[in-house]
Amino acid sequence: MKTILKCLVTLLGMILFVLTTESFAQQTHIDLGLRVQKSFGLYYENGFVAQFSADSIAQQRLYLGIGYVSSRLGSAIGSNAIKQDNYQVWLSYYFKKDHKLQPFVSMGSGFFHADYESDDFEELDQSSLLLSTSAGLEYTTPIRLKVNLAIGYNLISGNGQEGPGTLYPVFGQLNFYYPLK
Amino acid sequence: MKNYEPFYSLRLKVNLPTLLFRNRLGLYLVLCLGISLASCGDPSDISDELLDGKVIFDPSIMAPENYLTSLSNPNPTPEEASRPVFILCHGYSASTFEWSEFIAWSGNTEAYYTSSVLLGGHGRTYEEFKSNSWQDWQWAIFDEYEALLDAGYTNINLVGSSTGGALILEAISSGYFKGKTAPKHIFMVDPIVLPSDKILPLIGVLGPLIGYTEAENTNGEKSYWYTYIPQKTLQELQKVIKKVRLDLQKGINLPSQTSLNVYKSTHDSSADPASAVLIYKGVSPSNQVSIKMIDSELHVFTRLNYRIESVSAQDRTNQEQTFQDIVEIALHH
Repeated sequence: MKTILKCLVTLLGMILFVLTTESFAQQTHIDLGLRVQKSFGLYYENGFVAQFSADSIAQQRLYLGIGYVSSRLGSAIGSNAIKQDNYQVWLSYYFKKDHKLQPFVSMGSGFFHADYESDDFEELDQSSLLLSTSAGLEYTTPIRLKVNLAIGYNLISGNGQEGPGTLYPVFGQLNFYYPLK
Repeated sequence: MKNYEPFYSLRLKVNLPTLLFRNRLGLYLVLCLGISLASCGDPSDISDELLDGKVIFDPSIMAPENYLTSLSNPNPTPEEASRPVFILCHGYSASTFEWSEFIAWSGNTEAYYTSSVLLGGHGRTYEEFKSNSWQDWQWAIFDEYEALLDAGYTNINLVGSSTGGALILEAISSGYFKGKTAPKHIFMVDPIVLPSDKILPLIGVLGPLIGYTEAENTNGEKSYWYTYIPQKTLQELQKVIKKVRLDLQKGINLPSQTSLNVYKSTHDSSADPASAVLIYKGVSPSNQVSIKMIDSELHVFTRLNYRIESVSAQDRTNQEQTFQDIVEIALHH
């Protein structure tokens, strides 16, 4: 299982590298935005996201995204919720690009870390690789703002035996993107 | 020879979502499927050898005076009333058996009393288990607590395993102890706030489709734990642990003279070890809270009998040390 995961992450990294290199050589598009993410059964984790695409790659259907979401900007504000950070990177593919409502699928990876704030818990897993898949719909408003709703599944999550206990599998995302370029 | 080609082509061209949602027949099919799945709600035949059946009940139902100090010694002397009483609260789908090893370990001690509470709806038939809410489970703890107070006991200690721990946390959070003599010490073994099975929060959606689940109990466990788990009770479990998690997020204040001692397995396939982190962060004052992480892969590591897992020497040491710790704290702090 770990070997498969390593292969997947390596493959994703290679795709990201090629896409990034190609993107900056071609006409690129950049969207900046905000993400509201809710694990089913746990926290709101909110943060910032950016997406890049290029005209020459898959007719601007393929996007490379990076993001940072954290419970520090969500459930942990003014509460005792665990502070946890997600550093995310993903590839999205959009269908029906000429429609106002565009379905899309994504595959993501990244890094997760929860801060348990005490040495008493040093034996517990607090960090993990992220590997996720998601699908959703994106609507472009008349003011160019893109509203994007997705449901996703973390292929790696805590199960009591291993993995951080606050990394849940099923999540929903609401993203707001504004095209800068 | 008949030509099936047009039908074949139609099958290729019509996709499933179109068939289901643009076509009334498809919608009826979805509804029928949902109803048929929902109707397969309960097990058709429950064996008499199971706790779920109509023959085996928790023994505390037949002879509660053998389990509850409020009944076995309803008129304590002033000296007896000052001895520690441990109210032992088992977990979800379990029975008084879960704490029987502590009672056996205690022997005929006169230093303290034990009251082994059977949670509401538990230890009875599948139907009775199914029809009770988490508040019903909790009331059994309150009944014994109030009976002990009425009898004059002043040194009451609560001990909760798994969901028993969550029910005690909820009682503190909801202010149950305000205006009453508060428990002197609270002990929790593998309390559940976060489930290890992260799909549990979806039980409200998935539950009606599955009806019930079947636990993999050993032959010994089948008389003391439910084998068939109604999804409705899983919804109740999810409700109470969600409430406790949100209460911890806001902060739970212990009564001023009460200590909280948590013992949590580091690898637990039922109650995620991170539950201890939420309790550590959510309960105050912090100087009244003690958390001990126990190197164990057992859920409710203090119960070793009839385990499907092999019990190691380390497991026996963990049990012994935790029992000693609980008694030591109650007798000398």
